[in-house]
Amino acid sequence: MRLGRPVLWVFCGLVGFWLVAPALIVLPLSFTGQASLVFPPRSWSLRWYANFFGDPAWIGAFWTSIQVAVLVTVVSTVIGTAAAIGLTQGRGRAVVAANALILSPMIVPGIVFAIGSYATFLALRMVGSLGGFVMAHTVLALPFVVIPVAARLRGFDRRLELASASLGAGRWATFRQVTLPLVAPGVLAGALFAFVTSFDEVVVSLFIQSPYLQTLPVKMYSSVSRDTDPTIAAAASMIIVLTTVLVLVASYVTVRRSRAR
Amino acid sequence: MPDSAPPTGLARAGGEITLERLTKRYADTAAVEDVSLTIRPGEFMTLLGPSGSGKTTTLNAIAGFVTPTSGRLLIDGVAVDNVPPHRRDIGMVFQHYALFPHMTVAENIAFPLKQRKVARGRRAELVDAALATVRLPGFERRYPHELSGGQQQRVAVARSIVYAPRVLLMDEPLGALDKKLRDWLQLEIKRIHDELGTTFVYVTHDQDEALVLSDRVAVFNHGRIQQVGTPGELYERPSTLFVAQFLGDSTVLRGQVSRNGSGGSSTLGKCGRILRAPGSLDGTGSVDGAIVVRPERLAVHANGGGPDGTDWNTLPAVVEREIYLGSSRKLELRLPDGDPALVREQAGRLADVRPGDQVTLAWRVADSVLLTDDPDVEAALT
Repeated sequence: MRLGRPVLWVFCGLVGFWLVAPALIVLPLSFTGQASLVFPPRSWSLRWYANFFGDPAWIGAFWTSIQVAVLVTVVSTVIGTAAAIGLTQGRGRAVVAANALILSPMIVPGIVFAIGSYATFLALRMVGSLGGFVMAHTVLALPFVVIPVAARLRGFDRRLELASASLGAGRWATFRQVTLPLVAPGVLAGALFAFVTSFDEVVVSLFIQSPYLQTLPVKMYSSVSRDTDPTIAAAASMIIVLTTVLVLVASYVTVRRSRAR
Repeated sequence: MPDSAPPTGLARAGGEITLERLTKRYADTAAVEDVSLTIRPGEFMTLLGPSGSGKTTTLNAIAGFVTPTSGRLLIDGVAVDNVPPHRRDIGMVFQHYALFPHMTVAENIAFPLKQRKVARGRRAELVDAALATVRLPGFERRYPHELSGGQQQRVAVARSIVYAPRVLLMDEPLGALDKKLRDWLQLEIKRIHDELGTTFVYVTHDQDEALVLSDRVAVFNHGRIQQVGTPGELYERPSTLFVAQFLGDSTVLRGQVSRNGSGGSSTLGKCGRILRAPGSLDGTGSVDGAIVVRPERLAVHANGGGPDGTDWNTLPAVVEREIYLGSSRKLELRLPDGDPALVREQAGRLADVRPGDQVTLAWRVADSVLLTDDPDVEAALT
C-alpha cells in the first residue's frame, strides 16, 4: 500500500483546511484597505484596527467581554470542580440526576435557554447587568468544567486521600496538597473552556444585553447586521489570536506538568 | 551492629490498642463480627487470615477509614470512635505504596511533618533520619515513578515513621513485591520495629510472614478471631481446625472422640485403631472430632517396626509419594480408610521407605492436638 499514506495525508490536510479556513479567512480580511468584506482584499491597511481601538463602543464591548469571561471562569471553575468531586464520590439516583442537570445546558437548545433567561432576568430586572451575564454564562460553562475535572478524578487514586489523612492532613489540607495538584490539568482545561465559552457566547447574550452593556460578540453581530464594516474582521482576528494563545499556553503547561511526574 | 541505634527523634513509646466487641456490617453481611483484642504497647501484632476474613476491615477501623457498626475502639485507654483519621496519631503503610506522585521522595516524607507544623530545619533532619532508617540515603530528590516497587515501599515506610506515630498500621505492605524482595523487606520491617518501639499492626494472608514477624498473631476467619497467640502457640497448640490448617501443614485424623475415663485424655477411633490424645472436647458421649499432628512430629517405620506402649499412637499406611527438599523430605501417605497423611523428615534421619511401601505411622500421644471437627474448614481454606 505505497499509495495509502500520501492519500491519507492529503485527505487529512483537506479536512484540516475545511475546519480552519473560515476562521483563517478573517485574518487577511481584517487588514483590507477597502470598506467592504470582499475577499481577497485588493489593498492593505491597519485602519480597521485603528477604528476598533478608537471607538468607545468597540472597546467597551471588548472590556465587558473580558470582565464577564474572567468572572465566569472563576465562578464556574470553583463550582464545577466542587460538583465534579461530589459527582465522582457519590452514588445513587440523586447523583445521576444532578449529573444530568449540570450537563443539560449542552443539550438544551441555546435559543430555549436564551428565552428562559430573558424572561427570568426581565422579572428580576437583571437584563443588561454584569451579574446577569455572569450567571447565564456560568450555567453554560459548567459542563465544560465538570467533564474534564470528573474525567481526571476518575483516574485519580483515592487511596492517596486515605494516605494523606493517615499522615495527619485534614480534608481541606488533603484537597489542597494532594487532590488539587493531581487533578490540576483537568481544572486548567475546564477553566480555559469556561473562558472561551463565555467569551464567544452570542445567542443568550443577544437576549440579555442592553444598549448600555454589550459583549463583543453581540456588538459584532449588531454591527454586521447594520453595516458590513471590516472592523468586525479586526475584532474577530483578535478573538482568534487570544483564544489560540490561551489554548497553546494551557497545553504547554499541561504537558510540562505531566512530564514532571 | 554499631549503626543500628535508633536515629534521633524517630523512637517513640508504642500505643496500646483495645478493640471491644467491634462489629462492622455492610447491608446484611458482617465483615467483622464481635472482635475483641488488646494489642500491647510496642507489640508486633499480625492480623492473619484469608481474603474476606475481616482483617483489613479491622485495620481500617483502627485507622478510622471504616466506622464500626457497634463496639468500641480505644487507643491508650481513650475512645477514638469519634476521632477522624488525621487526628489519631497513627501511621499507615498501604499495599500499593500510595506515595504522592507529584512530590519528590523528600517532599513525601516531609508531608506529615508539614501537617504538624514542624520547623523547616527540623523537617530536613527527620527526613534524613527516616531515609537512613529505611536505608535509602541520597534519594531525596527522586520522584516515586523513578523508584522500584521495593524502594517505593521503603519510602512509604519512611513517610509513616518520620513523625514517630504511636501506632503503625501496615496493610499487606509486601503483597505487591516479588518473593526475594519480600523476604528481605520482612527482616527490614522487623529491624525497624525493634529500633523504634512503636506498636505495629500488620495485615497479611501469608502465614510465613506472620510467623517470621510477629510477637503475636490474631487469626481471622469469617469476620471473627479464631485464636490469638504467639507464633509458637498457634503452631503447636492451634485451638481450631481452621488455625491448624491455615498455619503450616498438618495431618488431620477425623473420627468419633470419647472421653477416656477421668484422666483428662480422650480417644478417637480410626482405621480400627484407638488413638489417644490429651485433653477432651465439650459434649457428652462421643462427638465428631479430629486429632491434628504436625508433619515433623510424625515418623514412619518400615513394616513391622515402630514403637509400642501407651505413650505412642500408631496407624498403618502406604507411602504414595516422596518429595525430596534437600534439608528435608516430605512423604505423602494414604491411610487404610483413604485419608491422607503428611510426614516431614529431617535430612540425616530419613526412614528407608519408598513409594508403594507398607509402613507404620507413629507419633507421641503428647504431640496430638485434639480439636472439634469443623466441616466447613476445607471450604474456608480454598
